[in-house]
Amino acid sequence: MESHQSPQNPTPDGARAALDALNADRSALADRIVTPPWFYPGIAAVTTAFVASPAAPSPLIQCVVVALGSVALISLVLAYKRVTGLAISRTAGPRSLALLIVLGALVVLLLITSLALSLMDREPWVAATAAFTFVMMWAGCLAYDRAYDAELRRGA
Amino acid sequence: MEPDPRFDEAIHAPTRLRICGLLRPVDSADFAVLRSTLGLSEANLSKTLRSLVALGYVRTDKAASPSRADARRTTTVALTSHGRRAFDAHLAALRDLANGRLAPSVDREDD
Repeated sequence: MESHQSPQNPTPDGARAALDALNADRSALADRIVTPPWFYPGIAAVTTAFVASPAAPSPLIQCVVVALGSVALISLVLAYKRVTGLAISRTAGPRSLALLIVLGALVVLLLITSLALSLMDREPWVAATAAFTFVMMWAGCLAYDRAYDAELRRGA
Repeated sequence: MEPDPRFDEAIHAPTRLRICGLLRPVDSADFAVLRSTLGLSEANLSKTLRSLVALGYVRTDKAASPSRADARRTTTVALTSHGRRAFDAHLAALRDLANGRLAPSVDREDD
Protein backbone atom coordinates (compact mmCIF):
# COMPACT_ATOMS: atom_id res chain seq x y z
CA MET A 1 0.00 0.00 0.00
CA GLU A 2 1.17 3.49 -0.75
CA SER A 3 1.82 5.45 2.39
CA HIS A 4 -0.17 8.61 1.71
CA GLN A 5 -0.83 10.19 5.04
CA SER A 6 0.09 13.82 4.65
CA PRO A 7 -0.91 15.87 7.66
CA GLN A 8 -3.48 18.62 7.22
CA ASN A 9 -1.47 20.86 9.56
CA PRO A 10 2.24 20.07 9.18
CA THR A 11 4.26 20.61 12.34
CA PRO A 12 7.93 21.54 12.86
CA ASP A 13 8.58 18.05 14.26
CA GLY A 14 6.93 16.48 11.23
CA ALA A 15 9.02 18.67 8.92
CA ARG A 16 12.23 17.68 10.73
CA ALA A 17 11.31 13.99 10.49
CA ALA A 18 10.68 14.37 6.75
CA LEU A 19 14.04 16.15 6.28
CA ASP A 20 15.82 13.44 8.29
CA ALA A 21 14.26 10.75 6.08
CA LEU A 22 15.38 12.61 2.95
CA ASN A 23 18.92 12.94 4.30
CA ALA A 24 19.05 9.23 5.14
CA ASP A 25 17.93 8.38 1.61
CA ARG A 26 20.57 10.64 0.08
CA SER A 27 23.24 8.91 2.17
CA ALA A 28 21.91 5.55 0.96
CA LEU A 29 22.10 6.87 -2.61
CA ALA A 30 25.69 8.06 -2.03
CA ASP A 31 26.56 4.57 -0.74
CA ARG A 32 25.10 3.13 -3.91
CA ILE A 33 26.96 5.43 -6.31
CA VAL A 34 30.22 3.54 -6.67
CA THR A 35 31.92 4.70 -9.85
CA PRO A 36 33.28 1.73 -11.84
CA PRO A 37 37.11 1.70 -11.69
CA TRP A 38 37.42 2.02 -15.49
CA PHE A 39 35.18 5.09 -15.80
CA TYR A 40 37.53 7.95 -14.89
CA PRO A 41 40.61 6.50 -16.66
CA GLY A 42 38.32 6.12 -19.70
CA ILE A 43 37.19 9.75 -19.50
CA ALA A 44 40.83 10.83 -19.08
CA ALA A 45 41.91 8.73 -22.11
CA VAL A 46 39.19 10.21 -24.34
CA THR A 47 40.06 13.76 -23.26
CA THR A 48 43.72 13.00 -23.94
CA ALA A 49 42.83 11.85 -27.47
CA PHE A 50 40.97 15.12 -28.08
CA VAL A 51 43.91 17.20 -26.81
CA ALA A 52 46.44 15.20 -28.83
CA SER A 53 44.35 15.25 -32.04
CA PRO A 54 45.93 18.46 -33.51
CA ALA A 55 49.20 16.52 -33.82
CA ALA A 56 47.57 13.97 -36.17
CA PRO A 57 49.44 13.66 -39.49
CA SER A 58 46.41 14.72 -41.54
CA PRO A 59 43.06 16.49 -41.00
CA LEU A 60 41.28 13.26 -41.95
CA ILE A 61 43.01 11.31 -39.18
CA GLN A 62 42.27 14.16 -36.75
CA CYS A 63 38.57 13.92 -37.66
CA VAL A 64 38.65 10.14 -37.15
CA VAL A 65 40.29 10.56 -33.71
CA VAL A 66 37.66 13.12 -32.64
CA ALA A 67 34.80 10.96 -33.98
CA LEU A 68 36.08 7.80 -32.27
CA GLY A 69 36.63 9.80 -29.06
CA SER A 70 33.04 11.04 -29.18
CA VAL A 71 31.71 7.52 -29.68
CA ALA A 72 33.90 6.28 -26.80
CA LEU A 73 32.61 9.08 -24.54
CA ILE A 74 28.97 8.22 -25.27
CA SER A 75 29.73 4.51 -24.75
CA LEU A 76 31.33 5.24 -21.38
CA VAL A 77 28.29 7.21 -20.20
CA LEU A 78 25.88 4.47 -21.37
CA ALA A 79 28.00 1.76 -19.73
CA TYR A 80 28.02 3.76 -16.46
CA LYS A 81 24.21 3.93 -16.58
CA ARG A 82 23.90 0.22 -17.31
CA VAL A 83 26.23 -0.75 -14.44
CA THR A 84 24.89 1.64 -11.77
CA GLY A 85 21.24 2.00 -12.87
CA LEU A 86 21.63 5.76 -12.54
CA ALA A 87 22.11 8.58 -15.02
CA ILE A 88 23.85 11.55 -13.41
CA SER A 89 24.85 14.79 -15.09
CA ARG A 90 23.90 17.19 -12.31
CA THR A 91 26.34 18.48 -9.74
CA ALA A 92 25.42 17.95 -6.08
CA GLY A 93 26.43 21.39 -4.79
CA PRO A 94 28.64 24.46 -5.26
CA ARG A 95 31.97 22.65 -4.74
CA SER A 96 31.35 19.94 -7.34
CA LEU A 97 30.01 22.61 -9.73
CA ALA A 98 33.15 24.73 -9.25
CA LEU A 99 35.39 21.70 -9.86
CA LEU A 100 33.50 20.85 -13.04
CA ILE A 101 33.86 24.42 -14.36
CA VAL A 102 37.59 24.48 -13.55
CA LEU A 103 38.14 21.10 -15.25
CA GLY A 104 36.22 22.26 -18.33
CA ALA A 105 38.20 25.51 -18.53
CA LEU A 106 41.50 23.61 -18.16
CA VAL A 107 40.58 21.21 -20.96
CA VAL A 108 39.79 24.14 -23.28
CA LEU A 109 43.11 25.77 -22.32
CA LEU A 110 45.02 22.53 -22.99
CA LEU A 111 43.27 22.11 -26.36
CA ILE A 112 44.31 25.65 -27.37
CA THR A 113 47.86 24.97 -26.15
CA SER A 114 48.04 21.72 -28.10
CA LEU A 115 46.73 23.40 -31.24
CA ALA A 116 49.28 26.25 -30.93
CA LEU A 117 52.16 23.80 -30.34
CA SER A 118 51.08 21.72 -33.31
CA LEU A 119 51.01 24.80 -35.56
CA MET A 120 54.59 25.52 -34.41
CA ASP A 121 55.60 21.90 -35.27
CA ARG A 122 56.41 21.07 -31.64
CA GLU A 123 54.94 17.55 -31.65
CA PRO A 124 56.96 16.33 -28.60
CA TRP A 125 55.39 19.15 -26.59
CA VAL A 126 51.94 18.17 -27.84
CA ALA A 127 52.65 14.67 -26.50
CA ALA A 128 53.72 16.18 -23.17
CA THR A 129 50.54 18.29 -23.06
CA ALA A 130 48.46 15.19 -23.78
CA ALA A 131 50.22 13.22 -21.03
CA PHE A 132 49.58 16.07 -18.60
CA THR A 133 45.91 16.08 -19.69
CA PHE A 134 45.53 12.39 -18.83
CA VAL A 135 46.95 12.81 -15.32
CA MET A 136 45.02 16.05 -14.69
CA MET A 137 41.71 14.60 -15.86
CA TRP A 138 42.05 11.41 -13.83
CA ALA A 139 42.99 13.33 -10.68
CA GLY A 140 40.35 16.00 -11.35
CA CYS A 141 37.62 13.43 -11.86
CA LEU A 142 38.56 11.68 -8.60
CA ALA A 143 38.42 15.04 -6.78
CA TYR A 144 35.02 15.71 -8.37
CA ASP A 145 33.81 12.27 -7.26
CA ARG A 146 34.79 12.98 -3.65
CA ALA A 147 33.18 16.46 -3.70
CA TYR A 148 29.99 15.05 -5.24
CA ASP A 149 29.81 12.29 -2.62
CA ALA A 150 30.34 14.72 0.27
CA GLU A 151 27.73 17.18 -1.04
CA LEU A 152 25.23 14.42 -1.69
CA ARG A 153 25.62 13.15 1.87
CA ARG A 154 25.29 16.67 3.29
CA GLY A 155 21.75 16.38 2.01
CA ALA A 156 18.55 18.35 2.19
CA MET B 1 18.64 30.94 -6.43
CA GLU B 2 16.57 29.61 -3.52
CA PRO B 3 13.03 28.62 -4.53
CA ASP B 4 10.01 30.21 -2.87
CA PRO B 5 8.80 27.93 -0.06
CA ARG B 6 5.54 26.24 -1.02
CA PHE B 7 4.14 23.33 0.96
CA ASP B 8 2.79 20.80 -1.52
CA GLU B 9 0.47 18.18 -0.01
CA ALA B 10 0.63 16.14 -3.21
CA ILE B 11 4.22 15.12 -2.52
CA HIS B 12 4.34 15.38 1.27
CA ALA B 13 3.18 11.78 1.73
CA PRO B 14 6.31 9.94 2.93
CA THR B 15 6.78 7.56 0.01
CA ARG B 16 6.12 10.23 -2.62
CA LEU B 17 8.50 12.63 -0.91
CA ARG B 18 11.27 10.02 -0.60
CA ILE B 19 10.97 9.08 -4.28
CA CYS B 20 11.19 12.73 -5.35
CA GLY B 21 14.10 13.28 -2.94
CA LEU B 22 16.03 10.38 -4.41
CA LEU B 23 15.37 11.43 -7.99
CA ARG B 24 16.26 15.09 -7.41
CA PRO B 25 20.10 14.80 -7.59
CA VAL B 26 20.09 12.42 -10.59
CA ASP B 27 18.80 12.59 -14.16
CA SER B 28 17.10 9.21 -13.91
CA ALA B 29 17.17 6.00 -11.92
CA ASP B 30 16.19 2.45 -12.76
CA PHE B 31 13.05 1.16 -11.03
CA ALA B 32 15.14 -1.55 -9.33
CA VAL B 33 17.55 1.04 -7.91
CA LEU B 34 14.68 3.07 -6.45
CA ARG B 35 13.08 -0.03 -4.96
CA SER B 36 16.22 -1.31 -3.28
CA THR B 37 17.52 2.08 -2.11
CA LEU B 38 14.17 3.06 -0.59
CA GLY B 39 13.41 -0.47 0.67
CA LEU B 40 9.93 -0.48 -0.89
CA SER B 41 7.90 -3.33 -2.29
CA GLU B 42 7.45 -3.47 -6.05
CA ALA B 43 3.69 -2.98 -5.71
CA ASN B 44 4.03 0.02 -3.40
CA LEU B 45 6.61 1.70 -5.61
CA SER B 46 4.59 1.05 -8.78
CA LYS B 47 1.44 2.48 -7.24
CA THR B 48 3.17 5.57 -5.89
CA LEU B 49 4.94 6.17 -9.21
CA ARG B 50 1.61 6.00 -11.03
CA SER B 51 0.29 8.71 -8.68
CA LEU B 52 3.34 10.90 -9.30
CA VAL B 53 3.08 10.38 -13.07
CA ALA B 54 -0.61 11.37 -12.93
CA LEU B 55 0.41 14.54 -11.08
CA GLY B 56 2.98 15.32 -13.79
CA TYR B 57 5.86 15.20 -11.29
CA VAL B 58 7.53 12.05 -12.63
CA ARG B 59 7.92 10.38 -15.99
CA THR B 60 8.77 6.76 -16.69
CA ASP B 61 10.35 5.18 -19.76
CA LYS B 62 10.51 1.50 -20.60
CA ALA B 63 13.30 0.12 -22.73
CA ALA B 64 14.68 -3.28 -23.64
CA SER B 65 17.72 -4.06 -21.54
CA PRO B 66 20.70 -6.03 -22.85
CA SER B 67 21.56 -6.87 -19.23
CA ARG B 68 18.33 -8.89 -18.82
CA ALA B 69 18.10 -12.51 -19.90
CA ASP B 70 14.29 -12.39 -20.18
CA ALA B 71 12.10 -10.23 -22.41
CA ARG B 72 11.08 -7.85 -19.62
CA ARG B 73 11.97 -4.22 -20.13
CA THR B 74 13.79 -1.94 -17.73
CA THR B 75 11.79 0.99 -16.36
CA THR B 76 13.66 4.25 -15.94
CA VAL B 77 12.19 6.95 -13.68
CA ALA B 78 12.95 10.67 -13.71
CA LEU B 79 11.53 13.86 -12.19
CA THR B 80 9.92 16.24 -14.67
CA SER B 81 10.88 19.93 -14.54
CA HIS B 82 7.46 20.55 -12.93
CA GLY B 83 8.22 17.89 -10.31
CA ARG B 84 11.68 19.34 -9.69
CA ARG B 85 10.26 22.81 -9.06
CA ALA B 86 7.52 21.44 -6.80
CA PHE B 87 10.01 19.37 -4.80
CA ASP B 88 12.46 22.27 -4.38
CA ALA B 89 9.67 24.57 -3.19
CA HIS B 90 8.35 21.90 -0.83
CA LEU B 91 11.84 21.28 0.55
CA ALA B 92 12.25 25.01 1.20
CA ALA B 93 8.88 24.99 3.01
CA LEU B 94 9.95 22.01 5.15
CA ARG B 95 13.19 23.80 6.09
CA ASP B 96 11.22 26.94 7.04
CA LEU B 97 8.82 24.88 9.10
CA ALA B 98 11.60 22.90 10.80
CA ASN B 99 13.38 26.15 11.67
CA GLY B 100 10.24 27.55 13.27
CA ARG B 101 9.57 30.21 10.67
CA LEU B 102 6.07 31.19 9.62
CA ALA B 103 3.75 28.44 8.41
CA PRO B 104 4.12 28.16 4.63
CA SER B 105 1.31 28.31 2.11
CA VAL B 106 -0.15 24.89 1.43
CA ASP B 107 -0.96 23.47 -2.02
CA ARG B 108 -3.67 20.88 -1.66
CA GLU B 109 -3.79 17.95 -4.04
CA ASP B 110 -7.37 18.65 -5.04
CA ASP B 111 -6.73 22.33 -5.87
